[in-house]
Amino acid sequence: MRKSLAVLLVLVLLAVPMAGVMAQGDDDGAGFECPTQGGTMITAYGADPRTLSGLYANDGNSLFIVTFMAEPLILGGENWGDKIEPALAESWDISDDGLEYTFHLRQDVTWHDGEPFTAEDVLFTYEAVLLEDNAISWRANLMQGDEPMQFEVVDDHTFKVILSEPNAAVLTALSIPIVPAHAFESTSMLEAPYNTNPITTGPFKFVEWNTGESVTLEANPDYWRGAPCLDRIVIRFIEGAANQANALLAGELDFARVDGADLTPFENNPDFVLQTAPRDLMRYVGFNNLSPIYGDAAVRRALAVGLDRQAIIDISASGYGLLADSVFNQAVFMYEQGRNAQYEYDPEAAQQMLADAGWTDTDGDGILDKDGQPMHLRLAYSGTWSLMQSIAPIVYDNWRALGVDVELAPLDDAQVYEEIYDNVSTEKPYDAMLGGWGLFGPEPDHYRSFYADATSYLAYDNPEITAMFAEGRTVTDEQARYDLYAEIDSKLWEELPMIPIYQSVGAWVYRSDLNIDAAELNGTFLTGLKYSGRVYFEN
Amino acid sequence: MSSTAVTLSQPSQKARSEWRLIWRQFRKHKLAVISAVLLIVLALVAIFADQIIPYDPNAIDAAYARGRPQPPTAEHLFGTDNYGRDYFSRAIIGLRVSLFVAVSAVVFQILVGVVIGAVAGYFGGWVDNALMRFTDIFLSIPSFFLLLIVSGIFGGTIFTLILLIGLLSWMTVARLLRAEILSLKERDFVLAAQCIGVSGRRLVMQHLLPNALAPIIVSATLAVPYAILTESSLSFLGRGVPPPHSSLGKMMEDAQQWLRTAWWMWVVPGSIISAIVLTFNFVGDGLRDAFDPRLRR
Repeated sequence: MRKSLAVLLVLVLLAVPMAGVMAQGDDDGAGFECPTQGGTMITAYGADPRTLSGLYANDGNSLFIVTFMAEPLILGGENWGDKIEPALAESWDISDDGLEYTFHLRQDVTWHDGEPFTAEDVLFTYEAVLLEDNAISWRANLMQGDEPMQFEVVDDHTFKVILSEPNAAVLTALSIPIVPAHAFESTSMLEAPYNTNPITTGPFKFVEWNTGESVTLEANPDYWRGAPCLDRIVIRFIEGAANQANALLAGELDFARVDGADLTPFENNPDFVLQTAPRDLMRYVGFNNLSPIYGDAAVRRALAVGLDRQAIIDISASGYGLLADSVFNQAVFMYEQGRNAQYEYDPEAAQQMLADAGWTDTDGDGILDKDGQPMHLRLAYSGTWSLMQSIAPIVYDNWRALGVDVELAPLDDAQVYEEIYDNVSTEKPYDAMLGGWGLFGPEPDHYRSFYADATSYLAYDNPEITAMFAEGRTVTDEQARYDLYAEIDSKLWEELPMIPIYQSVGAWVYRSDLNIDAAELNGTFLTGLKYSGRVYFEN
Repeated sequence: MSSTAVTLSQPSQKARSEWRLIWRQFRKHKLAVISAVLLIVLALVAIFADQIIPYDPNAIDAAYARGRPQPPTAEHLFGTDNYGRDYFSRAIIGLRVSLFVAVSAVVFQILVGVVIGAVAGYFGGWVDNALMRFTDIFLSIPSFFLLLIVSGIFGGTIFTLILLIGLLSWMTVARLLRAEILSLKERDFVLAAQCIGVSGRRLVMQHLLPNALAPIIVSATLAVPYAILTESSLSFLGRGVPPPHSSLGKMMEDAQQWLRTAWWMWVVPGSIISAIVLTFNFVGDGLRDAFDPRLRR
């Protein structure tokens, strides 16, 4: 088992650069010939979706299904991959002042009901998102401060976005699934029938939703990248990786992501293929940077050195994780492995670093203190999230060993919001928290709300970093942006407003007669598939 | 006159021989005796847990475990869990926590139950009526679900657990004691005591309660396994002892995902729980028989 895990990890590390090379080979993915045609792929996700509208889908259950059906103008937004690439927009021009983005839309796209896709649909979508009553979470993407972006339909297939100030993050901000204007009576869509009966442009179209059971999708033969190889995709609702793994073994599923379950039955099993890929998800220890003790970067660095993060990967993620060396997920465009020196686990060095920061055990009670104040740390986390439950005892033991008086605080969901995510102030009792975030894609500007906003739950207030993030929006030259964000990356790695533990590696298992090579396994999409239309059954 | 003297001196003598009779009867119940010995051993282990444990029960050895529970060896008698924490040390600390919670909860429930039962039985009338309806209200509460909810709200600390388990299970004792006192109250020796003007407090403390001791002891003994099981169930559902500390139920919860691959994860806490529950039941059984004069020969 140990050996095969190591082999798997090596494969994962190899897969990262390989995927990059493959993607460069074909830009829009058109012109793929299906080796075989037909068949139904049965996959699974946790539970009923909350919605089938791409505009409202922001939970995993909904996003998973929407990703098979809907498309944005450009890939690269949240849940839409790790690269800015053309989708419904073939290409775009940026004016010299960086204020006007002109998108040239594909002319060969039709909606699933046969209507042509035009710039009016794009305008309708963005206007609906901006409508405050619709309560669509993407609204913030289209706002510049208090002002909305301006949109203009130039002709049927040309669409213009006008900004009041340069915003280099606008491409990923606009990466929102487009909905058809003709399917709605008005831009008010909170109660629209579309939300349960969507019309989209993607490789698969909606057929039916059996509440509590499954959602069935059918191939879109007119898909602009070419007709999908499969006839149908059925998404069954099965809660938990262990249950999905059992369903795979029982032959009830063809494809599923089952990391976290016991994968031994799939290893060296001729009936299944087990493939892994890094996911755009980070697990971390966040600090309440307003706390007088943990507001000190030297203390945070010491705690990072004193945390056996590899042990967390081995124990809590069964080895399916990449040791983080950046406070950004690896999907960001300026990520480079090895740029930052790793905080190697070394409890003695950590103790020395704490002593250098003034924390020593002067009264001999086994707990560090400074100016008579003991080093207490309340670690808050969701007590209903089993991953966090399994990480907490490791943090507890590692930091206790340094002399930190760790108090574990497993909270229920309402308490998590009350204590952590809702407005932060010094009153908040937590010193540190366990969390996970992700699906942010290639644009580092997404992290602004955590690292450059003193009102975030990390309460991290660093004017230099805030200024650099603000500058990052105005720079349009790619190299200059790269250099700027690389500098932010290095600075934040020194500062550690949170300790990134590891980035998840997904484990996908599928029937060995299913071929997903051309579909490109990509963990930055929730479905794990970049081109779901190119999945096919081998004869 | 001399006969009065004899009768007066008899109670103390009789009390002594009464206990000797009980002990003689209890001794005949072999299972109960073995159980009692085992219980004493378990109690000693719990009391001297800190001296016995070979490892810090919360210390992680990731390199040893490599993410999987490791089987028993000479260094780790009961193996380790998937964190590499010594399961023997965790089991002993778990035993202490579980026993402490259970015994304290039972002491608490006996105190509440005795007060309510004695007051209701002694005063009778509307006091009795009110207290018994109050008891009925508590009896009608599905206590386990209330426990789940309340422990969810107040969070699991050992003391809330003790308080909760105790508060939700005093009713049996209260009813038993009330019935016992109602019947004792009509006995001649009580009437006699009342006639010579013994005060109410003294009557209860000296005549009624000592004579009602038997059912209290038996129900206390039988209440411990119930408290152990409640604590284990709550911990199993993640509502018991706070992490990372161990209790027997918490260990069962940890074992959940390794049922098929690591038998020691559930066999260890499972056997300890069963052993405690069984031994307390046997001892309780033995005591009940021993207290019952009809079974004596």
